[in-house]
Amino acid sequence: MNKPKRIFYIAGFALLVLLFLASVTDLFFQERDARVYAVSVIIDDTSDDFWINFKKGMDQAAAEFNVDISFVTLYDNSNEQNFQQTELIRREIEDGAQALVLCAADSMKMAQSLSDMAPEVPVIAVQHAIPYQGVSSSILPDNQEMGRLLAEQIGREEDREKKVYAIAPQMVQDSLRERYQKLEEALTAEGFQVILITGQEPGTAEALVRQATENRESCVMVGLDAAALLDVADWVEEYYGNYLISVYGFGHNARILDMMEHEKIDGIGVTDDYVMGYLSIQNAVASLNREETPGVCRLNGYLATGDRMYEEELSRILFPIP
Amino acid sequence: MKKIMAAAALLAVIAAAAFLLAGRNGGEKEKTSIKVGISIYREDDTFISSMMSSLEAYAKELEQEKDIKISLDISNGDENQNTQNEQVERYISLGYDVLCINMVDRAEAATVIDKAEAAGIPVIFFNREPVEDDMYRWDKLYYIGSDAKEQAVLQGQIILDALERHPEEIDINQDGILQYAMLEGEIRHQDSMVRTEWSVQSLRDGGAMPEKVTGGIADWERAQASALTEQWLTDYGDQIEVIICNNDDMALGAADAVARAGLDFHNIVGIDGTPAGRQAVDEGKILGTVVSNLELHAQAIMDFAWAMAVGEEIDTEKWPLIDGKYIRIPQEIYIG
Repeated sequence: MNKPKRIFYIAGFALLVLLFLASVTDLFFQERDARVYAVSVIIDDTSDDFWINFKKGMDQAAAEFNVDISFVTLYDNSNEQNFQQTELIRREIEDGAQALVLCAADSMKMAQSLSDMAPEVPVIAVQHAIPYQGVSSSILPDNQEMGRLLAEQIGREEDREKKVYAIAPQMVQDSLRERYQKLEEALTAEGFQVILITGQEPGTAEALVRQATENRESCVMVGLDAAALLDVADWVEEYYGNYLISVYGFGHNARILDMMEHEKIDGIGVTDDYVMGYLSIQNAVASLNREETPGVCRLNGYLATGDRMYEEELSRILFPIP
Repeated sequence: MKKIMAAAALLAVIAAAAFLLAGRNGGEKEKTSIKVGISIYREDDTFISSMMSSLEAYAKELEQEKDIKISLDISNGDENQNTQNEQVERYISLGYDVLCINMVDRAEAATVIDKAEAAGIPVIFFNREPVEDDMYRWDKLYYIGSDAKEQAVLQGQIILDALERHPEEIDINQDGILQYAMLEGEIRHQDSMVRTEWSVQSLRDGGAMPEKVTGGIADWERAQASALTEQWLTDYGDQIEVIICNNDDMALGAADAVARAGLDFHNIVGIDGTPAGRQAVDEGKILGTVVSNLELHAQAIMDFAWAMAVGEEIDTEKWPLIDGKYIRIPQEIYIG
């Protein structure tokens, strides 16, 4: 075999090996993967009962923006919720979360935890603002508007002689304080007496409902969040107080809507949870791509009542179809 | 020739090194988390949604016990098999470790199985049983659910027991024949067909002489059952002595209609033992139900998912496998 032939065979063989390697490994040409964003959503509850519409919006955005979501709930409802959330944040980041969507159990404590941890991933706050500089964006309901709308409804439907009890186990969130502040302000201006029941021994609010039914006292009860609202509605039903006690509140889930349809709940202040879920993921992806995001996004408040819940605008919010 | 051999050897060394590098890049990391993709046929089915709540609670317990993150993603198939297939594809593309599927259409399991098998991801079907042939398409397929025939026989037993205790309350017209109305689940659904057939057969076997007054398909739904029962109460009135329902949601729907009509009638039986169903039994709105232990369902699904995801053996003492594929969750009568 002469020299040119040898060179030709060696070159041919080398080319074949190179082509083979190129086809079976990433050694020469890195195949470009479709980018998948890992986003962890950590909520302040042990179940997703009150997060169904939020999750629908979140899932819709996940499908559109190629996001792998890890939806994380708390282990229990102990007083250590902020500690649990902090540990979960650590775990999620170690597990590869590229962005966090957080509904803080306690905004102030969470701000401190984030400040201590200084996570290097974008943080999106939902439901409650977190006073931490590193929060990329916040998607929050217009609590004042919700409070005002609910106060107006109570003003239209209830006698001024009835006491209004506003109930929340804890008032650690600005959002609850905003709702209450507006509600109290508007109702007092209308001539109602408003009494806040919060931070007291467990059982206080239930005892209040029992006492009202035993004493045949007509009154108004307002749950300042969905869990408190559901508790109040259940107690009123349990003590056969539906004919005496009017029940209002904020937030919803399937049971609350069912009770409202059956006139066991008289009205609720709501926001568009579906949009909140969608925007949280959209903003997380935008932050990851270093795109501009709105610092704070305030979502409109709405009033829903049993007779209006199937109107077009409200049914879109209460029963969203992706 | 020597030079050719040397060049070939050099290239072979390069190739081997490339394979080694490629192997190292794609090698398995130590597992710090497992991802379980769950798709349910419909999110507003009370039995399934209660099961999912139990599943999430048990996954948290397991997560703390094993110190490995368990990520559950639950999707709603929304009664559309194409939607469910897309959800399965998404889980596969995101590299989930195991799939838990509550089929929208039990006859379409082959599509899910083929996709999962191609990706090497095990599948645990639950509550809606795929056809037997499909279950044997691959060895990493399991089914967890209750035995529909056993449920129906127990449901019949509730009526027979009540008939024995208080015949005048069940055989209201005292004619020795049990006039019944039947509320059925989905058309063509295996559990629906089996429950319908065997609840009546068990009454016959128990000597109750059942006679069908009317019946209809309410798709497992409370609202549809309520509407149908309302119509029957108008059309047949007190001819109906018992309302047999394929599940608790429909039994609750029948009870709703009875309450609206202001009747003192509670000869309604359900199946599933959902929290709402058991509450209705306690309140005397329905006669009884068959409890299919939700917690056990959830534990079985999660234990299997865990074993599949981390490559452990299935604990067959805790979960005895039938034909190497099936887990049947035990059930019992609940009459309050």
